[in-house]
Amino acid sequence: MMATIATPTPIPPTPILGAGNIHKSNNDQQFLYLESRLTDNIKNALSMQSFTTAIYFADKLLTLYPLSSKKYADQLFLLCSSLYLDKQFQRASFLLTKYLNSIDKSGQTKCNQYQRLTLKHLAAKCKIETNEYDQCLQILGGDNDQNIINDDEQDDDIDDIDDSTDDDQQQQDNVIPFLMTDNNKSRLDNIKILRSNICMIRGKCFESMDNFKKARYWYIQSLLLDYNCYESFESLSRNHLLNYSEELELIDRLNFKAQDQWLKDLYLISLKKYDSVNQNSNTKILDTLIQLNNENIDDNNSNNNDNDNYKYFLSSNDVQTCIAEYNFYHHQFSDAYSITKKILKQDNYYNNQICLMVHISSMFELQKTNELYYTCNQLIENFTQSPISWYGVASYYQLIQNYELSLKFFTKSTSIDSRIGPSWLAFGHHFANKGEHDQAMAAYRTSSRLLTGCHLPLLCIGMELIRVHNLSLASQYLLQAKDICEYDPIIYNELGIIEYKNGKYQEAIVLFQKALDISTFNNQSSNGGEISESWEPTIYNVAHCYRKLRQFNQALKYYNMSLSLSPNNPSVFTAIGFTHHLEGKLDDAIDIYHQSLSLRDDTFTNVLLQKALSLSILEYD
Amino acid sequence: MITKKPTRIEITLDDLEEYQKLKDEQTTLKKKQQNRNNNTNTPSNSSSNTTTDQSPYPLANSVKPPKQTSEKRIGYDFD
Repeated sequence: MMATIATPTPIPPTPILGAGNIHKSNNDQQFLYLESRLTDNIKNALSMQSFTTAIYFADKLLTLYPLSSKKYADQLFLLCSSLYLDKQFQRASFLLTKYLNSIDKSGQTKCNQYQRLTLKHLAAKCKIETNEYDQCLQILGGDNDQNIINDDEQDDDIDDIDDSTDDDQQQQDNVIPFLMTDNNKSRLDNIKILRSNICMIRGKCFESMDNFKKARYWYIQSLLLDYNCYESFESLSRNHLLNYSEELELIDRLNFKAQDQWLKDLYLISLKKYDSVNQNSNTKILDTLIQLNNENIDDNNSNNNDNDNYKYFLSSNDVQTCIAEYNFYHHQFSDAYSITKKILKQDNYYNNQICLMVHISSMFELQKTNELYYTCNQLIENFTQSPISWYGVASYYQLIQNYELSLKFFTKSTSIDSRIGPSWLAFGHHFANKGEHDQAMAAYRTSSRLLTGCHLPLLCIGMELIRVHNLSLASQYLLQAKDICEYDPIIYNELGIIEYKNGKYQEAIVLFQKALDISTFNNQSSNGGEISESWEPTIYNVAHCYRKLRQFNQALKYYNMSLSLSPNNPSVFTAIGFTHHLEGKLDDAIDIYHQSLSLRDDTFTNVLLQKALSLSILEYD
Repeated sequence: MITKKPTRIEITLDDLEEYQKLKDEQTTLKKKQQNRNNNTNTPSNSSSNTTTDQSPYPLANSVKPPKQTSEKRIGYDFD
């Protein structure tokens, strides 16, 4: 919003002698004139994003007040805010810490506790920008709850602040909108917002120092103080610091006001998106949004009632990203891709990490090599220093099976930001594909350490352990993954694999069937509950179990389902042939072995074909 | 995040054990039946090497077929 330019105050007749001694001269009129002019100039400069001008006048305004005065702290805050906006973080933090140290030593200042906390908050923000996390925590008083002002102290501060005259306060509010804000909000709310932001900064510091437990604690504290602090919520959800049940519990604890239900709904759709079987509130909202999106309702506001205000935000990029993410995790890759493509077409420089991640991963899953190549080029051009861009490049090389370059760019992505869990996860896939077990496990473990609330690293560790036949340990990891996310069908598929390998075919069938039931349920909204191609391996696995149990008709039923989802798959033909062979239908088996061998020549099918032919010939003769 | 596909159990040469086991079972059963038939002196119409479509033991055959016949069956009979 453009600020209105203040009407200039009449110029006083007496010439200005020098700012340094004006306050000593007792010429109140001149002093007020100067104060007003400088304040207006700063205000106008800030509204025009002319930070250099703002800094120049803020510096002059600061010199009008003695160090010990209460207003000095406010003007210092104004100057340092301008410096912060101009990205002069070191200078701002230096001036602020110098002042804070001086008042701590002398104790002769009228600066109240609230002002002191505001200055500390700004200094801490500057330290975050310069990656000096230790110093940032030091400014905020370390990891101690007591250093954030208590409720009793708040009341004193409110009284203290209210001592200033209305005119003074109004003037302050106009220039420093983020300091004491508008009159509609109570002072207590402002203090809560400040405390919430300080908690958020602490969370960021601990997160950057890889202390995720404390980071999680401070982010939660921040949200409990002020649920509007989206930055804390985003850090918790984007970095998977909480698991799904913890996320839901947190939302419940936030006690949203009735009129803020829309915000609760928006938060809910940002949570993890696996649990659609239970139809929790977030999946219900997402299903409604997907329905609206599919119907392409332009006038989605017409049928709104008070409880579903979130529909107003359907066209927002963030909401669309949530829908795309939901589709992606339910293996609806083409739907996810079309949404993210649309978002990035409308907003070319949209740098939402989730959106870019879903976009790249969807193209990877759909094997859209050309599109992925083009997108990665654009990303490198626009966000050279973003780890996501290099993650995309690595994914592209992974897709075209250039493993050397894939390794190079995964390394680059993780070296730019070593805390990017999805990159480590993909790094793990890379090593797993190459059969390098130890490296894959190391990458997965790093990913697991970073994505504490996400089950995927644990699931991948379990899958990797199955690959190397360490079934008991694999089972432990998979059960841990199941504890975090109960409704990911892949977990049940992998648990079924363990049962199968242990020769417990009936138990394996139950688990595979559960995986299929969940995936069918997940697909209900998008394709009427049909099993998608992604679950062909599970169907194929069920068929194996029935074959092992010598229920050949059932086995053939599932093999045929598998074949319909993955036509011309030689291994399915071999399996069907083998089943016929075991049934004694040798001619059918021979025909199907031939079909399999026409697609791929493999030893197993050749051996079976020879055996079937031997038996068949004896019949023929 | 790039996801991993569900693990797919591939048929390997180890699965031939399943075939071999079934075949052995059928051979044993067939032998038992033949013994029973011999004990009751019922003449058997079928030779030990042949199987019929209605045979309950289609895999019970351990004799290698003559090479010439195999070639003929698979279409490599150039004589």
